[in-house]
Amino acid sequence: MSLLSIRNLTVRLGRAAHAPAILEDVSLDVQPGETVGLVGESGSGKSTLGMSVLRLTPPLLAEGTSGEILWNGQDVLKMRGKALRQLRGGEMSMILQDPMASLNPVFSVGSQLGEALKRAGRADLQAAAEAALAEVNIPSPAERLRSFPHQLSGGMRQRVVSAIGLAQEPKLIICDEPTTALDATIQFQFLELLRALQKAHGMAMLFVTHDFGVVARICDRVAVMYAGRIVETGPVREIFRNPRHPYTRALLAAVPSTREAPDRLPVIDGAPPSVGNRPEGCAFHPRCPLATDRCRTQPRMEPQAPGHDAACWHAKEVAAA
Amino acid sequence: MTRLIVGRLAEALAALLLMSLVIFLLSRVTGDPVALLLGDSATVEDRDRLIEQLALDRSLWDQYLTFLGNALTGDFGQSVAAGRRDALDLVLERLPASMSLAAVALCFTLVTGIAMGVLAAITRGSAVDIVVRIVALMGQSVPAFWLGIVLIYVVSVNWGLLPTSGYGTWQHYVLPALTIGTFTLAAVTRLVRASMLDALGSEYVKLARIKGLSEATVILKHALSNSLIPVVTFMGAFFATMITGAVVVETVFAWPGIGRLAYESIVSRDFPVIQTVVLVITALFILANFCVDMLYLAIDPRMRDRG
Repeated sequence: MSLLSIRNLTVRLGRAAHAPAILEDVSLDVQPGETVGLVGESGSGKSTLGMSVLRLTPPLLAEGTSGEILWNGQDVLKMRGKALRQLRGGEMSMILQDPMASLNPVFSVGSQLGEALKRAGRADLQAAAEAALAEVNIPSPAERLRSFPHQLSGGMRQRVVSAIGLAQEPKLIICDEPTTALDATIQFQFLELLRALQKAHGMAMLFVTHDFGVVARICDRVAVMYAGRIVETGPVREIFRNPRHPYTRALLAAVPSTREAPDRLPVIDGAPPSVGNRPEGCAFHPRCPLATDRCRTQPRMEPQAPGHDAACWHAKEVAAA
Repeated sequence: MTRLIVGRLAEALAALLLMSLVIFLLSRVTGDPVALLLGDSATVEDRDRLIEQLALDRSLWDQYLTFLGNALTGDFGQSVAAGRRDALDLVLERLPASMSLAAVALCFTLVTGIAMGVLAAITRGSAVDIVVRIVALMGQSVPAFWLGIVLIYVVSVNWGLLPTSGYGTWQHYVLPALTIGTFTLAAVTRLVRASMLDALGSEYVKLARIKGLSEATVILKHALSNSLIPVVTFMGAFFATMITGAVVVETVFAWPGIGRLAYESIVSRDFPVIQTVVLVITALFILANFCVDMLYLAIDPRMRDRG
């Protein structure tokens, strides 16, 4: 059984049936210990998907959420009060995007980390907190515990956030673009650290990003999102070698190569549609070179190869190209 | 941090000194102090004696230094109206009544305002939120003298629940404290609601929820601690509103504090007392703002690393 199984998740801006949808009919599975990348442009709904799994979406979106998010067979969307609190932190955790904003400015690192460790039932909080900081490669942890967030650099803060995320030994950690706000050199270090931690703890990871380079580095499987839907999903190697959705192909083509430096970077013409203005049928068709009249109806996810699905009427043509 | 505290202390003293100059000059530009102090029935000898006594024949600068010297030794002159009594004694005697009223009003506004602000923020958009917002808007719009009179009329005269005016028991505090605190209560409520909404939408509150903390801990610890920072910033201003409001409210409720003393001495043109009241209120403001700065250091760690 999958650890996490998202079934037909739709998130609308409010309760009304015709309210604009941020996510539409999204299904995704995460197996124990696996790293799944969730790739898409800004506004594709990838962050909302991450937030929905932990039920952290704002009230308007929470009201407009339907479908199922199964955690070990239990529907997260039906959980209340204590059950939800036990899920958060203990079973699933999350590393947020902006390390400058995700720590509370008025409490010390020790206090904020201690809260998580205390929930995990750790006896010697001081020792546990020092060990937790040491694990994310923070030098002189005892001293750093007394620091306040504003006294730490961005990279250091993101390590603290990770230590907090890992403190309760979750089985799944959702990372919402955790490297976007970091310098390029720090990004690489941080990804290496995450991968090491994941191996050490045997966690599954859902990694939200817009960067295929990051996906190639740490993910086992990838799901590509466009305009609120998953358009293609499969093993990373397979998707890189043999993309079946024109959008995935265009995204991969836009990843700059270090081997040859072209005069102009390839781009995808047009802009992604905003929520509420999505075209009918396949939302990518106005920007797609292969689009035909057929694309005005929504294609279903169809198997392309073992474990590799894509939602495109012209998947075979993409493969042939 | 020590440098910051010493710096603030120096600023406070400088402000007090500057204010003494302003008060001194005001007393000189508003007319002849001798005529003001002596009244109609004085003789020429009285006049000459007073000029010498107050050193009014010397330069303005000399006079200011004398005024300052006297003030430092606690000599603010004598009241003209209240039988030549020491002006400072008169003010200090009235101070406890004003301070206790301000303290009661401030506690009431902070506790109620914070509670209402938090309640409105966590129930955003609901009926509770709308009611709180309307009440807060009304509280900021109603003039204190009108509210005081209406409260006396309804609560004391019609219902007979509380004394109409005066000072003595806890019942005497209720209506004046309510009147003096209404504006601030509304301001605190609106401030807390706005900053609480900011905090509830913040990433650190999201992280607190991710940790699986209870909703009470998330709201009362993580969100509220940050929402109180702007409230502390405005506390100096709130205190100022209460003291200035005291002139009106103490008069309406016949409350024996420095606000009513200020009113009485203005009516009877008792200049030494007016001067002393203004200077004492100034000193209170400066002290209150110094306390606010210190409180700021206590609750916001980012401030401790400055300067």
